[in-house]
Amino acid sequence: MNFESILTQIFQPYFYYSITFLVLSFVCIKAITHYSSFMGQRKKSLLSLIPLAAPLIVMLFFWPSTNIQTTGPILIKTAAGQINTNISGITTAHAISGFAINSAMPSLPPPNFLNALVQVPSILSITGILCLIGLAAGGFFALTMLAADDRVARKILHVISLSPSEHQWLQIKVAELSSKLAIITPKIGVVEDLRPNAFTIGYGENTTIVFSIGLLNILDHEEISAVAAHELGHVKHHDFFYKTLASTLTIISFFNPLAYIASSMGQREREMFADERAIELSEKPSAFGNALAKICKALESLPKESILASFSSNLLVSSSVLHRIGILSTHPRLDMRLRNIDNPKPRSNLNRRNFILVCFLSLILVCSVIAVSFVMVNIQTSYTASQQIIVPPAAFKTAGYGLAGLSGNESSYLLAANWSGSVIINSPIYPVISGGNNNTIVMVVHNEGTSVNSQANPFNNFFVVPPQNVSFVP
Amino acid sequence: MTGDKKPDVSQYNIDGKALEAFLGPLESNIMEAIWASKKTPITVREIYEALKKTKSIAYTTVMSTMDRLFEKNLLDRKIEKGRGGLYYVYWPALEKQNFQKNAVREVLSSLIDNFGEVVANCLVDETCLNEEERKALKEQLNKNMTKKKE
Repeated sequence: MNFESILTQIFQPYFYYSITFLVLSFVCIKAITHYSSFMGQRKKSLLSLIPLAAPLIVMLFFWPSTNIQTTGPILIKTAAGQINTNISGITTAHAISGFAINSAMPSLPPPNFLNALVQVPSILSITGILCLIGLAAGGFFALTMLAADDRVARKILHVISLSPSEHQWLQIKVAELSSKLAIITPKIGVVEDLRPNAFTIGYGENTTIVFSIGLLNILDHEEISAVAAHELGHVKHHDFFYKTLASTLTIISFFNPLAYIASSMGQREREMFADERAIELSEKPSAFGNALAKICKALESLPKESILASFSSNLLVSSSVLHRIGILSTHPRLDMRLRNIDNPKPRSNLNRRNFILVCFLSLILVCSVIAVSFVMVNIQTSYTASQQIIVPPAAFKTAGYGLAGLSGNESSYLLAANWSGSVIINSPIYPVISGGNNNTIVMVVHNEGTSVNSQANPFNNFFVVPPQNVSFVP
Repeated sequence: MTGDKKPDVSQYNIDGKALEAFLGPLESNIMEAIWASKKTPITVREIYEALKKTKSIAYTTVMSTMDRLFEKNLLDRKIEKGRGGLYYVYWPALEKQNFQKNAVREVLSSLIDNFGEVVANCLVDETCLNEEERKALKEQLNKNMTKKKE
């Protein structure tokens, strides 16, 4: 892949809009949540989903065009609905590099800012492929998680169900805490892991709280009960669905590293939220803090989990009490958690200063998105302008072919060119051509802001090329 | 697997059948399962799943029993890193024949230390020899034991 094709992909609207929106909304949400001490963990975690949703929303606007044939000649529909084939000079490679042929387009879109917005990447471009892989993988993951309940996670993580005679005190405690929270008592399982950990899998009646053998070995009964209360907090907060949604959105943007960071940010808030619930439920509030401290200490002496294992297990569980440090950690730092435990209630005094700050940050978010969008469109336009479509004079005809259909604006042109092997198309962004008979393609060229009476145009299918992109070989 | 491990068979059960003379019922089941298993080393969960097919059993019971077998030198173990995190994997410290040989030797050695000639006479009485042969064997054994004690 050469530099030009890389640029071509970067300047696909889906790609740059999704990246821009994700980055900006992430920065702003991070700033808002950081300075909004009055905001609860639940609201913060929900806000964290906004950056992750941005690429999906952008994708709905820039759904890749599917009217591209992978091999053989490009098919172009004429006004009469016939299909012209074997048009030489336009190869699949050209189409892949950005020439979406939209035969379904009913009228000519106005060539302005909005026009740039409606340009779509080809389904066969790298951007289109990434977009579709992400969507398919995300959809598959979401459906699997919802359809398989806890079965997949049980199998992969080797979860063993506790028999009624095992750890009876724990089973009684979990039932007691569940009734306090008014939730269905989850099942209890264990994993062989020697590292202290606890997590929740499944949802509804199939929820299972899983404790590692390492955790059961190092904590006393009160501390284990506090950890169970934390996990039940996740169940009460429906974190399975939050986690599934966050992971699905992350998978959709799998090629964007920031998506993983944004996802982790939201999950850290859910952890803090569950910590608060654990403190509310515990008879001895210090027990949960002690448990966390013991877990961290024990982990220091044990080998770390591999990144791959950690990533795969993290996808399957809605919560793991295991502490990991780093920007991708789904858990807050221990000191932050302990501070939150000491002062679990969110400060509800929405003072004027905070309110103004949040409004200001939100304004910055909106302005930044608009500003960056315009900048990107300008970059795209200038990049496109640097590309040229060369039409040899021998192929240039001005007569016939729907001249009457044009508005007559001085800056508009209707070109009829014979494309048989004589046209070099090198524009990666703007779709170019359509219509005509077997040997002729009609190309409508005009300046931004001009209009074309599409009703009178004899060709249903045409695309717009800015005049600066067209030059004629002398 | 080495043959020189000294298994702890201090609790000899006179009514126990086969391995159960030296080990508890669950200990015997676990050892038999491990010796029969083609997979070595093996995890507690795998043994638990194998035993669960034939009897109702709790995972934590299997885990604590395997831990005890490790302390009795019947099993060796190490920590392994895998899909389920960090966990112990176990393998037999002795082959089945070696274990039986060592265990019987341990018990006999203890009996001889405590009861000497009586043990020798009892062993000879259990053999299918005629009176003369028995007498000669007893004399020889008693002579050897006296020498060993000196």
